[in-house]
Amino acid sequence: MKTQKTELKIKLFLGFFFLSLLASPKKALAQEISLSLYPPLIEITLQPGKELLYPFLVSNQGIPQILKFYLLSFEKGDIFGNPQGFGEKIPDWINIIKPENEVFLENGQTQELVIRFNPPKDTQEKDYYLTLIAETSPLLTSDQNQVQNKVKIGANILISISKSGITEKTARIKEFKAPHIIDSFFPLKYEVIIQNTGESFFKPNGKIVIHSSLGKEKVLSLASQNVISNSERKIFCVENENITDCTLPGFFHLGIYKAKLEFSLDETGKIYKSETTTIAFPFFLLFPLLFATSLLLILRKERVELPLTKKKQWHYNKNGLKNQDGIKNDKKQKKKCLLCIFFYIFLFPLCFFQTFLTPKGKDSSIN
Amino acid sequence: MYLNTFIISLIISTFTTLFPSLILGQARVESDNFRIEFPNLNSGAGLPTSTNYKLDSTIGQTAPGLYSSTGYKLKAGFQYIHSIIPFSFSISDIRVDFGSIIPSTFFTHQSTITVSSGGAGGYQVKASENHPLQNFSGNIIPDTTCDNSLCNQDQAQQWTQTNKYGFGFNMTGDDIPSDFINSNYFRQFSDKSLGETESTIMSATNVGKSRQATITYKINISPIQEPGNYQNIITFFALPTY
Repeated sequence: MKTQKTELKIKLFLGFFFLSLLASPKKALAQEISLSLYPPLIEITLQPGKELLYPFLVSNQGIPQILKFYLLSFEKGDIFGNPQGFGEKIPDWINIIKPENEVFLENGQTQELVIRFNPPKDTQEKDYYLTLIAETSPLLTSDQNQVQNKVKIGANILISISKSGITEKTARIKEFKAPHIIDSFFPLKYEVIIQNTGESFFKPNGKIVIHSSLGKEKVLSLASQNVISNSERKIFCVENENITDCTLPGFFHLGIYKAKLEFSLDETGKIYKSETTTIAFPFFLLFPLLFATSLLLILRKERVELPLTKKKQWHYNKNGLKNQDGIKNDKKQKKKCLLCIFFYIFLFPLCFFQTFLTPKGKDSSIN
Repeated sequence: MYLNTFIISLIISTFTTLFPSLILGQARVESDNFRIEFPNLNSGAGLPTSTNYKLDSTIGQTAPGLYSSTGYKLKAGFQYIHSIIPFSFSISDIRVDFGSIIPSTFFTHQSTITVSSGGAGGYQVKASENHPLQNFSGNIIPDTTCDNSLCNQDQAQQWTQTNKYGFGFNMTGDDIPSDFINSNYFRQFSDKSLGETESTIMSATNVGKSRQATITYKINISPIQEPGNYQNIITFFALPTY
């Protein structure tokens, strides 16, 4: 009877417990600021006298916010493609026409932003770089020691004004380099930096082709990353839509690797080229073997020769005679030791200091 | 009878727990001039979902958005990535309340920053303060210079001594600067009132989804600090690469 009552109580308890879940509130919104802006980048080539309207979307996934929107200009970027040197001076033919003022966005709400590009017919043919900013408006209360967080999120706009639709693009290979000597178990990484020497932004379209002395060939595709005017950019490689370092795949490399960089600028016919060579050798595998082998040889020689040499030497010293064999054996041992010293002191550190021996590739631009 | 009640309540509650409430949101935006499909949410970008709209959710099937018309050419997104994924930024706290601060005693607070730049191939987050923590009388809690008086807005140093006063921050997690060696290394915020440029607190060159870092605010006041409520605004500027 008691057992039955206990069981009943447990069942009722569990039942009411699970029923209470029905009444549990939705997951409470954390006091989080969360914004998204889409798309993150647009590139426009526009004729003077033509008009273009383009929509962006900003989405609020945090607490309700008052957002304001504005444009900033920038003139250059760093080698990783981050805009630098923001200014508030915007061409008057670029406007945010929607929304006209600040907007209040609830959680989960999306706001459309429309930008109008309407360059007059006499607009100078050049590039204009802008960033669209969505910014929150913090409110400080007066009765707390407090830090208020404010968020600005941006999207980049690259504009080329051109009457013909074709802009002059020129580049220079600032760097194409790889280590001159590497250990076979080290990664073979190529570094590419391209400088924009013209007035219009471009994307390099090209590849790095690597030939090894063993007859293998590998192609690394360059990522089509924008290089804006007055700037240079480190170009990465792309594999399966993922940006990666330009690294020769594989766990082990052996031999001479000749790499050729080739790219053109967007749809232009100019081809830029550069080359570099790397020697891969298993130093880290070889040195332990050499060390062990030479140690073995030295110990063998010492065990066989030393007592005899010493014995002979003592005998000959006592009698005032020279032992040519003894002298020769000593000389051989010294040579072997010197050879070992050479490997350990000179070649071994080369692997550690290989970054200092990284040469630049030979440049040749073919138009 | 009671057993039946229990079973029924279990079934109902399980069903309710496994299938959350419907969230109505806008997944497709249209106007007379354009239509944009939202991508799916596996990037962690936090876009609204809806059970009432079909999303174009498969990465690789969405065209990069090349438009051509008389007078202009336009590309949206990135050529090597087929989907146009939003750039998103979030911080877990809209404000940090320090409460009553005890002199010569560290007070810290942590917030989580999350960035997704799935379609941008890289990003940067910069931070700055409008001015040092300041009360309405104009008294300030100065920015920290750390134990060795050498930290600034670009270089972190250790700050563990309770006789060193000020306000600063530490970063841990993804894509943070290398001078934040461990949780004891702090910087001061760039001070816009002094014309200092914003300093970078997170950056990456590759595509990143839901990259997370923790920012730790730290404050310590001297026993002779003027009373009052000290406040300032920290601005986080998140921007994708071009």
